[in-house]
Amino acid sequence: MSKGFKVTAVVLALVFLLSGAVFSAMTFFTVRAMGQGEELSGYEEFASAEDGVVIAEEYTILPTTAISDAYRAGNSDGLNEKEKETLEMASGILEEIITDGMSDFEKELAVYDWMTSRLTYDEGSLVVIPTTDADSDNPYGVLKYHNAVCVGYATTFRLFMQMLDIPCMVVHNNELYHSWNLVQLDGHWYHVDIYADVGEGGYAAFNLPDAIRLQQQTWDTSFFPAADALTYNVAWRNRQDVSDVYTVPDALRKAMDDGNGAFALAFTCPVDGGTQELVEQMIASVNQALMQYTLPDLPDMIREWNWMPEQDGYEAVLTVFYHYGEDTPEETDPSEEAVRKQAEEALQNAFGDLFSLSLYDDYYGDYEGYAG
Amino acid sequence: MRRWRCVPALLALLVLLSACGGAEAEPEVLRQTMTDAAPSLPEMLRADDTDENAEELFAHISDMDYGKVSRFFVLYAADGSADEIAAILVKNSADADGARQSLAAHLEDRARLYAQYKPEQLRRIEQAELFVRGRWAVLIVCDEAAAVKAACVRAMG
Repeated sequence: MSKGFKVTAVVLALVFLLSGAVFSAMTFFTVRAMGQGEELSGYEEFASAEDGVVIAEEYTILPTTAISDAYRAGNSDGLNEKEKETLEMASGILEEIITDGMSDFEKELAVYDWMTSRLTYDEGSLVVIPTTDADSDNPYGVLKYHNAVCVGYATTFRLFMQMLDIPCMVVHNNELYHSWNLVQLDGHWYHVDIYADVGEGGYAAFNLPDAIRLQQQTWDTSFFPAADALTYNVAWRNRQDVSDVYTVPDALRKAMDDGNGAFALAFTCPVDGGTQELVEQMIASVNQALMQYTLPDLPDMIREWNWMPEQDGYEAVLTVFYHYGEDTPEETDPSEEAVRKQAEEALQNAFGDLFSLSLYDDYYGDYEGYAG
Repeated sequence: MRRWRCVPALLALLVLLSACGGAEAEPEVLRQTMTDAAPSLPEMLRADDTDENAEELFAHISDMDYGKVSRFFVLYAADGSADEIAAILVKNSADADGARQSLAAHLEDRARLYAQYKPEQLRRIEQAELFVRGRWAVLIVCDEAAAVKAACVRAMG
């Protein structure tokens, strides 16, 4: 073998090794950049990272980029009939809820509001031999029948975000029994769980950081990007500073009076274990009263609260979420005097020229009225 | 002749002994007995070995080889609550514990599902009865699980 050939072989081997090292470094820094708030490159790879994963042994996370790509390109030629119908439904919704000039956050919020108010959870998925409505696990069925399981919510939300060119992933927990989303706004990732808030809204599961989400679920944090920001968390945006633990009730009352269902108490004073416990007792007291008295136009309970350690210079942060139930009309009480009087007046007005009537309140006893 | 007089008695004793253990209790009788013992059960759906796609339905409650199964039935709540009565009769008594283990795995799956979506149902899961009697492996998930088990065991003899 000639000397020249040997040299060439060594050089080629070195080039091969170096290019592999450079590729690894690029991949490493791209992944690290995600957690550090830089714009993601190749987001579509992450937009489909969960495709094919089976949740609850029944529901497969299906790709949606074909539909979102068709939307952004304005060309649906490559779609099958179901995909075309999905595109039409999703486009119609976006046309209804998205307006010019909206920021990415406002668009995301509009989609969240629509989904949590218009969709329901498919309880057929809990049955031993599931009877889930057709396609409740993908956007086609979710948008057509307004009925979804967690995979349906997650892939539909992801589809909307993809259509709006907002980076978004589907996440699943370690037990493979639940899925939700990670969405990126201004370079930072946030957790969104439409399933948890459907029918309620309230933002308790909207744009959460890892610090809160890790109290609710576990997932592969080495694979999925870190969610370490609060900027677009609704409770954080409605935060009140608390410098004294004994002003917590005032803060709870202020949020209620302001109609803030999602807010945070940001403590500037030290918060030890005893302080935490005292705050939780105060919250529990208010919660108990709300549930007991059910006053109109007020929350009917405090749905959730979550502690976070030091954030943004605060000693601790507590996010709080009120729940507003639907106002139900007061039940009519036939034994109430005012009710009886009104009913008897109505009877007399209608039949007074024929009979003198009193209210018949004993179906099985003697009738007290008479013809006269 | 005296020697032969005891034979009928021995035969009768053998018949009696073979009747104990409940291995041959009819599924339809068991099913009715167990549901009668649980008046709080909601509307229940049923799948069993007489269904056309029985093997496919069986797979929803057990990963056991269907070839080892003689009979099975499962009653499950139509409203998505945790109430469930499942019973597997295996062909060979040596496989009864395997059937029980497969039902245990099924129960764990149900627990994970409810832990995620309806935690208030976990109480029923935690109080479930799971046992083997003869060639039967039985799973009972309902508010009256203990009473249903007692009724089942009585029906099995």
